Amino acid sequence: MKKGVRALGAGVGVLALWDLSDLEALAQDAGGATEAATHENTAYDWTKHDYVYLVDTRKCIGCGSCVRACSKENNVPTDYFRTWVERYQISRTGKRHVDSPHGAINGFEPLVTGDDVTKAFFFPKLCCHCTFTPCVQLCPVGASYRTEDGVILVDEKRCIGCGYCVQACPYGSRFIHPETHIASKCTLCYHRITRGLKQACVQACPVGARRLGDRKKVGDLVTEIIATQPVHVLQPGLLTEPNCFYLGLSGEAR
Amino acid sequence: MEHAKHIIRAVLLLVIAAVGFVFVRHFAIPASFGEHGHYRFDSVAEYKSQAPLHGAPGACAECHDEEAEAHEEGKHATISCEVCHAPLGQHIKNDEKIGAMPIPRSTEWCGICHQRLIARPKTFPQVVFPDHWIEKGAETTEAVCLECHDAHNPSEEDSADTATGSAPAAPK
Repeated sequence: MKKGVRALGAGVGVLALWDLSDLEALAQDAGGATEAATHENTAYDWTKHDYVYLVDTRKCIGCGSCVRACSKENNVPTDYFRTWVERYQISRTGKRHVDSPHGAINGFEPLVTGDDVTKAFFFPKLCCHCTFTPCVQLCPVGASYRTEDGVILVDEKRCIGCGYCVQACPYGSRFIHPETHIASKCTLCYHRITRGLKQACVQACPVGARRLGDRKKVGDLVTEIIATQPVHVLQPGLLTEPNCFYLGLSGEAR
Repeated sequence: MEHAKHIIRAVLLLVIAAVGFVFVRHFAIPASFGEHGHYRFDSVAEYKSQAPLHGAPGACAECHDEEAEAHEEGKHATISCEVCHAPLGQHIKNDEKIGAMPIPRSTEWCGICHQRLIARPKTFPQVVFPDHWIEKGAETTEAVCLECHDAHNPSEEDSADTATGSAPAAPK
């Protein structure tokens, strides 16, 4: 028993240490990003970047700041989402209750499911910017494409709004815009990241649960975490090789 | 050469078809298509030209240095100004003020982060409304949270109070 308690103590200690070093590194990382920001993207070289996204579900508080920031930054129509947050409440018997009221744009209200909830967490979602993406492969007009730096975009002038990509995306990341009638999705805030700015959702997250990394940047913290920590991608069996990784995500999450 | 007529006809048809194909192709395929893959490369530049609405970190402090200083010292330092107020682009354009920023003071707003939810990490400070402010004897006003807490810099004392007084319960 005592051994167990000691082991638990050591575990918590290690966890605390890891969290601390993580935060320090994050602060340094943020400093570096600010220095590099020139806010002009004419000289941006896409061969020097390879973006990767990291969501730490253990930190997410479900405030929906990311959803609000994304909606404003990208003028996303009401009740359509480029990123959204789901809430999982799981009972001891494994009964799942999942909700995401209006994509969590106004956060969450307490919810009594009537079950004996033993595990609950928030699950932020966005386009996974897959390496082998079905949405690009089946676009009949070459409107969906993947940039050299790893961002999936939709050519707004080329798209005919057939909706094949919306059906093909296993993560539900795309929608047909109700006014323009063409496919719309997360652009990884391409206009911001090419200017050295943080994505709207990353900048808005108050707890550092969302981060953007760059595999081609030396000493990149997110790349380091993905390389050394137990991370998870959504629906790995589909072999889409998502570039959005999850830390601490429970297996019930879909 | 008794079939010359037929051959000329066939060749002529082929030439017309080839010219027609090149002609239609020229207009059907947009400029810059295929430069870097099976897509229109100009689309990338179109995405890059979108104007950012949210500002760079530290942009607010250029004018609001007092608030920024208080904010940097406190527990809310990790929260971008634009989370509670609004994107910088709604306030400043070409260094000119174009609109007022919202200042949310409602309990509902604070509750978006601090209302107790079982899905929130247990270490995150959270309370039950309205129990918390009834318990603290705060007056029931619209801005009841701000009676005790400074939104820019919630003090250590406030935080300690919140942590001990209303520690989030483990899920049953």
